[in-house]
Amino acid sequence: MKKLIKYTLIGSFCIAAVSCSDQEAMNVDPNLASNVPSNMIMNAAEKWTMDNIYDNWFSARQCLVYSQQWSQRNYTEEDRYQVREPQNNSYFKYLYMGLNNFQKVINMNKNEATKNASSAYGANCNQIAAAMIMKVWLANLMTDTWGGIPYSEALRLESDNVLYAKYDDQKDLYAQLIKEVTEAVNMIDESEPAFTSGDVIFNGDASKWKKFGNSLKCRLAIHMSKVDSNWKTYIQEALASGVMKSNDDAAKFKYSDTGTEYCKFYEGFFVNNRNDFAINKTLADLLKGQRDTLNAKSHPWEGVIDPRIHIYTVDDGRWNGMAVATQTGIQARLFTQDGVASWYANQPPVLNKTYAVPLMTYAELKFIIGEYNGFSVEDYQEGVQASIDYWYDVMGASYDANEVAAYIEAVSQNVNAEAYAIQKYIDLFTNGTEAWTEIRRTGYPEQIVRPGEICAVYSTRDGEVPYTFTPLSEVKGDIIARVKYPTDESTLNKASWEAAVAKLQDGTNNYYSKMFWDVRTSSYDHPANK
Amino acid sequence: MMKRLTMFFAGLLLCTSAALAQTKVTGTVISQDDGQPIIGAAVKVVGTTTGMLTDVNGRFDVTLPAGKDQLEITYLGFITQVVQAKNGMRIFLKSDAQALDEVVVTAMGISREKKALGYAVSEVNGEDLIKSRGGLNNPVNALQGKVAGLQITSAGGSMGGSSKVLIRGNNSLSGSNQPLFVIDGVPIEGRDYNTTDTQRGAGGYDYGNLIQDINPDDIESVSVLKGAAASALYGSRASNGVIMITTKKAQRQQGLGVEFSSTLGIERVSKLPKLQSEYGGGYGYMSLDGYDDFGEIEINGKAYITPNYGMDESWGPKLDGRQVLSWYDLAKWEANGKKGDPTTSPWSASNHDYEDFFETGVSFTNNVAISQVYDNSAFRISYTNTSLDGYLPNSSMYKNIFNVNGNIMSPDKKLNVFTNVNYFNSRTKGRPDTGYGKNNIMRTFVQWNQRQLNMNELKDMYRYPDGTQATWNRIDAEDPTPAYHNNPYWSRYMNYENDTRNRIYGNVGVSYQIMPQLKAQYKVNLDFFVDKQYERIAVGSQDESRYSEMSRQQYEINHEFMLMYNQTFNDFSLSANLGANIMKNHYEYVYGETKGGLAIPEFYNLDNSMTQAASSNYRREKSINSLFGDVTLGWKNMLYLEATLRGDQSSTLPKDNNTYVYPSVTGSFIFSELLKDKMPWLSFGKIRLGFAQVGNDTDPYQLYNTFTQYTNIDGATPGYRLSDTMQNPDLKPERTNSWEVGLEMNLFKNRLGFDITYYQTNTKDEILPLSVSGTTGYLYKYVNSGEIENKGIEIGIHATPVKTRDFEWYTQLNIAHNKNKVKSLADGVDYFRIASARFKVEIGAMVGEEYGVIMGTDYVYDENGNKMVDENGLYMATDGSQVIGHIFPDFTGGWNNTFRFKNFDLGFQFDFSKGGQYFSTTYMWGMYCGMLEETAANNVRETGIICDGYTEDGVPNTTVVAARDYSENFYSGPAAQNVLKSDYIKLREVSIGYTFKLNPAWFIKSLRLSAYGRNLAVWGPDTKHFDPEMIVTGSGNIQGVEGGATPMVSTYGLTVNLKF
Repeated sequence: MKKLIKYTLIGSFCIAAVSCSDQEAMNVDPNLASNVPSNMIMNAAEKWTMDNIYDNWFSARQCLVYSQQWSQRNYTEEDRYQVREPQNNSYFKYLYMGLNNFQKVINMNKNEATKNASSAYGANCNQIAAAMIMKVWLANLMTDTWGGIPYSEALRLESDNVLYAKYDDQKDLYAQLIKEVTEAVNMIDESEPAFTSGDVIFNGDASKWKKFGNSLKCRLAIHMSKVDSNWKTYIQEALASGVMKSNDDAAKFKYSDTGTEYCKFYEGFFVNNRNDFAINKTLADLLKGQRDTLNAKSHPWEGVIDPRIHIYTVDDGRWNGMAVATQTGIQARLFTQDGVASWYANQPPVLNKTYAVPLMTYAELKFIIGEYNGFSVEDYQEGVQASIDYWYDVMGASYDANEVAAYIEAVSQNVNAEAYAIQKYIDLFTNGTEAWTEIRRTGYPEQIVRPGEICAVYSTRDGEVPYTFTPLSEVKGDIIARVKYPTDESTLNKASWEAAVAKLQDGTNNYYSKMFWDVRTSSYDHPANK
Repeated sequence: MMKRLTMFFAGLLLCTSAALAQTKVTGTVISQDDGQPIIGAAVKVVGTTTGMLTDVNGRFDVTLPAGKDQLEITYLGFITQVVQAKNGMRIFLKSDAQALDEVVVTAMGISREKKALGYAVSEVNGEDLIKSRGGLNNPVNALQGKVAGLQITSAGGSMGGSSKVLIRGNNSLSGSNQPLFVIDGVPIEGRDYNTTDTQRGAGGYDYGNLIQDINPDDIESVSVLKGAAASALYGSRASNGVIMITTKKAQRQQGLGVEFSSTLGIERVSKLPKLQSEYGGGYGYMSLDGYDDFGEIEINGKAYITPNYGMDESWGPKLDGRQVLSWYDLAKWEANGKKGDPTTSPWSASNHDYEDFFETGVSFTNNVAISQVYDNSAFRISYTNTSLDGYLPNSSMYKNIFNVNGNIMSPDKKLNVFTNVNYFNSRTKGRPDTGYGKNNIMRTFVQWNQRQLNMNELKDMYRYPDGTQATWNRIDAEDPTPAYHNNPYWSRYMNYENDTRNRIYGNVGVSYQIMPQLKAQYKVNLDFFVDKQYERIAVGSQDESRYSEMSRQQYEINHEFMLMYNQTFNDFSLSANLGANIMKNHYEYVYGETKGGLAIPEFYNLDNSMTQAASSNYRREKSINSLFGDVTLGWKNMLYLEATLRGDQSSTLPKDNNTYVYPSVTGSFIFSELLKDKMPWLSFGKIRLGFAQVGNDTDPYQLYNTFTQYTNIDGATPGYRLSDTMQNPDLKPERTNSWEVGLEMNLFKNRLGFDITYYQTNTKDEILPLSVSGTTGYLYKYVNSGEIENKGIEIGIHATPVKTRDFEWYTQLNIAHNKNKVKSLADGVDYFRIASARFKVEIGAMVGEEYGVIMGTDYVYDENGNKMVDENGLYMATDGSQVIGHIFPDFTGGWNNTFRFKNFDLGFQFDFSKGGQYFSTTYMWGMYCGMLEETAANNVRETGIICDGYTEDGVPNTTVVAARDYSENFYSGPAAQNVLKSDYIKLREVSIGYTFKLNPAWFIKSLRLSAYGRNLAVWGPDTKHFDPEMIVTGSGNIQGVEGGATPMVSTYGLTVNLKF
């Protein structure tokens, strides 16, 4: 009997054993790749990051409305500072996924096992540097959105099984970003390509990566100009190492019209048919030289029409902007009443499939350098010229040089912090987070409609009814200072989230806690002038 | 080897002693009940130890020693007989009703006497499943309320939609909790392939779970194996219980047996949210200042007032009857080339409101079954077709189901070849879009709409003469382009889906009776289907036009080998089975969709794509090799002990951890055997006890990290990104331990009885994709972690309060209570997200809570438990997410009644469910948009409303807020406001029938007429707008989120059954 059981078991396990090796082979995923070259990851990392920033959510419903470049036509929750939780959760994690992919490129070029294979797609040091620069660019944008976020302990699940990354103080994070971007530019070997292919931003040009890295360092430095006395040193270092020299060096990501590789702004409007946005009145009025009569504000060069207005919105000769966030419902009526051009019916260049989204322009750098040089007229004028050239070039349009010269002359009557800030604000079109950052840092443009100010006038049969800009969330009278930490973190990274929230003003996860570099004491406090 | 085996089993036989050869007699033992031969009955010569068992033909031949001529024939469940031996005799055994000899089909298709089982098994008769067909929704719904602890929830109005089936609670945090469905030994794919978006209320079609492909007309009986002990032999996939379906087989009768049945069914929408009819479309803010939403337009020099059709809310002007230029007036005028003056219409409540959108659904079901039994073979062939014109415009469903089963035996009847094959075919058109889908008409009707709209007008003008769309939600009076919403008729007639499924499932097998006690059997079981789905968005819709095709196929083959041994001797009975199974599952799909819109309207082909159509494919394979065995020992029909052992080797686990073995032990004690003389009123009494362990693997491809193809923006260098999930090469199998104890008693000649079971199940080391903080760079990580516990009690009570020759009333009540607790997750993790809803909340599992919590913002309460109100007079919401509801009920059950009066029969059933909540997106937007009755009740739009709560200063709130601000706070304020109770009591079914008893010699031997109604009424605390069951849009773990549910329908029908 024992023998019998033995034979039966052995027999049956033989059947099973035969298929054992088959079983292992069977569990190799035929649907997803397990080995991918580093340049393919860089390619996806760049596009993933751009797709999730320059889109109808992170940009159009968030930083572009906070900076009053765009405005929602119907539903105005975000314009009135109430973010949608699911979207806030999504941006947050998707942007970290972007960081992680750049980190993967770094790791593949550092690890002994994969280093050699990766060098076939560009010098290891250059790939590492380019990915580090992108990480710094992205992390800076993220921290300027939420405040202190996990960085030193983030992305360490695979290496150290870190499930709960602590939130870094924003000050420490900035210091780390300065350190990393310095490291990155210093390791670049300009005689070798950064990537043999796959790099959409600079097409593998190591020198341009280096210039971008140094320019980005200038951006970080200027953000800290009121809180870190070393900011000038950082700019000096960057200038010595080499910054952008012309629009040709600008960091931008150009989309394609083949297949579905088009820009997400286009997708939002014409694939999802969310005809929800129009140019904001604040931006449109600044461009038109129209002063804010509702709140009795001045315009530094009233009546001067900015040549970029032909690029930024539908060129209907009226260039009317959409009011800043009235109540849902009234907004739609204002759209018709104020004769705002429909971007859906007449597509402005920004909604082209192949729009090149700006990571950082040469003009922005010029304005930073100019501020570093004490708001110099020369840097200012070069910056304005570069900006106009850049935007006309991006849209593939040409301009009348005399008109532009006249414009530059008109806006150079009084070159000061305000003029600088307004020109930078205009240049930062669709670069919402940076534009919002500069408003928070400098308090300019004054024309930004603050809570409590009149944002629109609604005509009725019985006369005109003024509307006051009334946020849905507590912002203490100023524009939104930050975006709330996402609720996901309160469940998936609870202790860290709680510790981070405790450090915010009043210890709550609010919209009014300021960035560490935002040291204004009121909306109209202009530290940039001091 | 076979010889050894034979010797081994032979050695176990007691009665083999040779005796002096005298007289030889042969005979056959037959069951008096069905005339079938009884295999394995013990034939013993009285006064000797000589005996044997009957063969497959029920035959025996025995040699009588001198002077002995009495034979004692015993067989479990039958009354023992002693007869005078005669050559060629036929002995009819009477079944022993007292002994409750019910035979049930248990794991691996093994028939067992119910009394011997050490675990709970519930049986439902096939007839009960077709009494009230419940439309074509899902045949498995017929089991609702019939079995204690079997919980089935289904959206009644979703044609062919999913049913959530759950036995004894959720054992798995992230894996399947659906029981395994087995039809005649064939494991059947029962899951759904709905997208996560569909399940979480974000839109998409509910294609239903595949278990709906069974044909209730072919079902003889259903056994529900509830616990792990009952299903241990089935292995991993049965850890959530097993629903075993036995199909009808040929019945022994004179000549050819023909049965025919035909049902006419009607379905009507029975519950719709209650909406206000006092105010029309618009924003309404201005009305506080005396202004309204109307605009003005000048046509041919005349001024008209036009409603604000660009807006999809109903905060507009009071429906006071004034003349306006409606969208319909405009559309007619435009359709007519803008000639002349447009007509105008009164601004008044619609006399064809949204209930008029729904039609009366009509279905026909016909079944014919032919069977015949021959000496050495038997066959049954059945065909069913059903057709349904659904209650939604342009919806239909057709099904054809063939079933053939039969067997052929060798002349000596030792060799038996058998087969059972089902072919299933369905064609469906126009399933409802669900949740926040753009073509979900319920989203438009209840969430975002203008209340004055007239269905007749919408139907009349959904297309302009040039074929483009006309919709009420036009951008403005001058621009008829759809703003957010399609005309609901456009959604139904232009943007519809259709799908087909072809499926074959069944088996072929051979068995050989090696000895009367020992049988060997080999079977191959196959389940194969091809599923095709075609979805379209027409040119001119609000969305970009598109067309997609999904072609999905799967096969699963199970090779199963078994040795079955049965022996009875003296007071003992022994049965043992040894088996091996090789399972292989292969799944794949190919998917294509147009990009950039369709070039030519109404031409639905992937080539008709503006830019290159996109395609994708997916393939998944899995195999499990298994060995299993069980031994059951019985003593004096009173004590039984069963033990099983199974070992699996799965392809989905790492090589070092891929084999796992697990046992079960159960026992039962029929104490009534001891007491039958002292307590004659105790007809039957049994105590059962069981323990079982089940191991489990996971889905394929969870061991090694991968990259996902993301972009082709650089023609030469495709972009790949890290996949969302971090895999884990160190996974090990999951374990489920469960035990159960039960008491079953029947009193007063079975007129009253009950069955109580208490169970506890703990699942450990579950393999789950843990949601991780985005800061890790991933969304999920696979881990072995956590423990989830289910404890519960199931009670079944049945009684026959009245029983006379002409009248009988049978009543049965079942109640089940399940208490679930998530005991732990991974180290340091206390929350696991199952899914996020489309807008506000998420569904998850939290340590210390029941599985399935709704997480969202809650009201803020002060120390005294009062809701707090902010300075604007609106409810405050908590900062982060909190537990604001539990999705699964505490108690479920059903109360069934059957009355028989002469040839009439009447039955009705109530179901109930207590405990559990759901988040209603419809409620949230229905309030936000001024749709629901509450937004206009008690004149709140004129007088405003005061939130019942306390301010931060600790005084009662007195701030009056506008009705619109109050209502909008359902979205912007605490999510908890939209959490509703899912408690209900439901009149599930009523049926009445009359059976004509005809002369068996006539051509028509039997005729029955019956009528039924299903889902007739519902009661509950939150059933004003909804039926809590209607929220189901998937059979998986994502439950508890309502997103624009299709309405509940009641079905009614008439059935004729004929036997020839």
